[in-house]
Amino acid sequence: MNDFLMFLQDVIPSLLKGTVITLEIAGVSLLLGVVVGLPVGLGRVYGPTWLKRVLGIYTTFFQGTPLLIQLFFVYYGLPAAGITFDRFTAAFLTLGLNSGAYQAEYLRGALQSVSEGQMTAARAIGMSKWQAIRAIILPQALRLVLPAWSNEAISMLKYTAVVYLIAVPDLMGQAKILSSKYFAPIQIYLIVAVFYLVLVGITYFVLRAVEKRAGIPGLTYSPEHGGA
Amino acid sequence: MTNSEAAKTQPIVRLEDIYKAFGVTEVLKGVSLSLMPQEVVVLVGPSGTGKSTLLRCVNLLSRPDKGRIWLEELEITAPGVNEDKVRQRVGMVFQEFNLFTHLTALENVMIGMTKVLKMDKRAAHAKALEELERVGLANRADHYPAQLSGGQKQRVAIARALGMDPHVMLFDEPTSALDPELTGEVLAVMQKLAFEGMTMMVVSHEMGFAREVADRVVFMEGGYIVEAGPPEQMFDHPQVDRTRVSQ
Amino acid sequence: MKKVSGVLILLVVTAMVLGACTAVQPGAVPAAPAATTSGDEAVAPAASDGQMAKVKAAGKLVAGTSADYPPYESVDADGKFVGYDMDLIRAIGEKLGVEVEIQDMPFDSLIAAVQQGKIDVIIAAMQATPERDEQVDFTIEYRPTKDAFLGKGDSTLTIAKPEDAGGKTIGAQTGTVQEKWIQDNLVATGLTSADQVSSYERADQAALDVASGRIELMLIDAEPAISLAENNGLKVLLLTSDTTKGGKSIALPNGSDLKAEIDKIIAEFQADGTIQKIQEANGLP
Repeated sequence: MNDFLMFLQDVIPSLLKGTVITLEIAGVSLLLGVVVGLPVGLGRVYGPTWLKRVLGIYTTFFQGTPLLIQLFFVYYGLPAAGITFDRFTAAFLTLGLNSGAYQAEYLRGALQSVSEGQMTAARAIGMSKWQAIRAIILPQALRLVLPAWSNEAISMLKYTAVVYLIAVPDLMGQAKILSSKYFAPIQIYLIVAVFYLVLVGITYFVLRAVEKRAGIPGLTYSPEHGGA
Repeated sequence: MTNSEAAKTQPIVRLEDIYKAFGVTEVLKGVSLSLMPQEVVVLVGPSGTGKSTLLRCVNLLSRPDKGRIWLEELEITAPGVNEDKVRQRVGMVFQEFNLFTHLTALENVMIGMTKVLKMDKRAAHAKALEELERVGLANRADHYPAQLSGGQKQRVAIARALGMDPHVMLFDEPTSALDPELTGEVLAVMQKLAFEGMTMMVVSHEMGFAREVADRVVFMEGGYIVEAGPPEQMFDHPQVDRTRVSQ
Repeated sequence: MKKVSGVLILLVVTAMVLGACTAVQPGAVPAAPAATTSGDEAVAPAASDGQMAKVKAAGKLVAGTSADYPPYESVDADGKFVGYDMDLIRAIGEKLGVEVEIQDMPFDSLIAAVQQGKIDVIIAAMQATPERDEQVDFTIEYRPTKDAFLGKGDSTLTIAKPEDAGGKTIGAQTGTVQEKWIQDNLVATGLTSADQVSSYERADQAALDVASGRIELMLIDAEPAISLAENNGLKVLLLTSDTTKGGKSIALPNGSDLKAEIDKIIAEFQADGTIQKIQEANGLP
């Protein structure tokens, strides 16, 4: 037991450093994912046919190929075309665009699940199509998509683990380095699993709280809960 | 028109020879109709005869394939007319209420005022409360649609339309989705509006309402207006020969 | 309800971690160089006493490698394991009168695999460092080693001695002696800052990063360096034996009775020219 505590003392500082990097990559990638996913999701539903098609190719590509291949392509493949990103940029771009594709598809589903009558009613009081989307459709769709986006955030925390493959010293990368330094991969990976679990747990509770705050009777939960 | 007073004023709505088809199905086959100020017209007839489509043409939610429509002095079917501006002047109430799910009753009424009419928040708030008062729901201002009964939802929808100060109100089967015991409160609000002088075009199966409130009842069938006249005539002495009525 | 189950999961996993750690042989976990002084004897698991008998009984020697290190070990177009180490271990198997089964796995999991008995021996161009020697037994060297500093094809850096690499961005494969040398001799001495050092899952990924200019140098075993340099248009800036201690050896579980046998075979091979033949067949000087 004492040995184990000493061991923990040795490895925790590196793992904390890795945690900061994991959080940074997950955070920036998710944010980029929202920035990309929002307009892409809207374009997929309300855009002209050609735009729907182009955006469809984007989402299909990122949803249809392994993340690892995307990362390798961006990091190791693009330099051949004269585009050399540093590691973090490559990680942000790949994970961000990947997440953007998923977030766009989730948003598309949410937009389409808002009933047609909402748009009709908004147009009937004189709103333009974009006014209606902004003031009526999107606020509802965003609340509906929140659970899916929360899952995406949690998945993202774990997806980030691929970046150690491009030598980013994230939590997983630190685990690799430490496990070969101490020849104790199982112990290190179990400790790292706990780290991920804690990160995921915190994220889960924060996002549930956000979902609850943004909730509206009849939209995100049945009205009985809200009380009439 | 037989009413001499109405004849010298300008109609609020004038529909002239309206045709509309969905795919191969011809829904409107040359319909003409005018609404004078403060007039209440109730459209009746079997379902699927184009009543709702005709109504939706008036605020351009449906665009006629052929024919022309005037809203007061403006020909709204003319090219280059801003549909959104047209719709601000025409209130519409739907069978399915279509209240904005994420907004409270008050916000439902306010949103058109702030977003479309660009009224300031405080003025909009006060006016929205007034409109809710008008339909008897000021005490439900903070309720979300899901927390309201069907009749209350429809009254909020009426308040929402009224908030835009429309020149004419369109009602598309406003009580059809309601349980029978809830239709009364909605019809009462509509009757009050009519009494206050609102120009109204109503598609409804509520014959009692038509008889009591309508100035004119228009009977449609198969994409044509087959008969029109004051309720007494329509209900008590219907024309045996259902021919196309010219306006 | 949800909260409770979340806490429960945390507890279970924590218990698993603690359980796993106490279950490992003492010394296996906190293997920081200074922490253990006792050496091999302290970590002799009983299971490996009869390894020779076990291998002979099975008629099969399971050898673990990380097949990303030509010309020592790699996978050819037909999916066969080829290279110097592969030829050597097969020759050793023949001498022992058993078949050889190759298992490919990441380099940094080899030692754990041999400790757990998943594989019988490691043959992966592995050098016998003191730290590794605490975890496993090594045979006598079958080949001395040199390291190479590689730079981009048009690199203008001059690396006359290993310390000249100080202050440059540099990469190495995770878990290799070269990575450790960088940490101990460049980072610990302050010549290079920690964030100038990159650890790669695979050596060829480090080479790609040198080629694209993301890092200036990589340090790697000399022989794979030559083919890596050729394939990626890199330049060998320095060949040195100053960064390495000990040659390449085969690793076995601590206390294995197979070690003496394999030592003998390697000595024989060195004497009768078998080693010479194998290295020529694989294009090694």
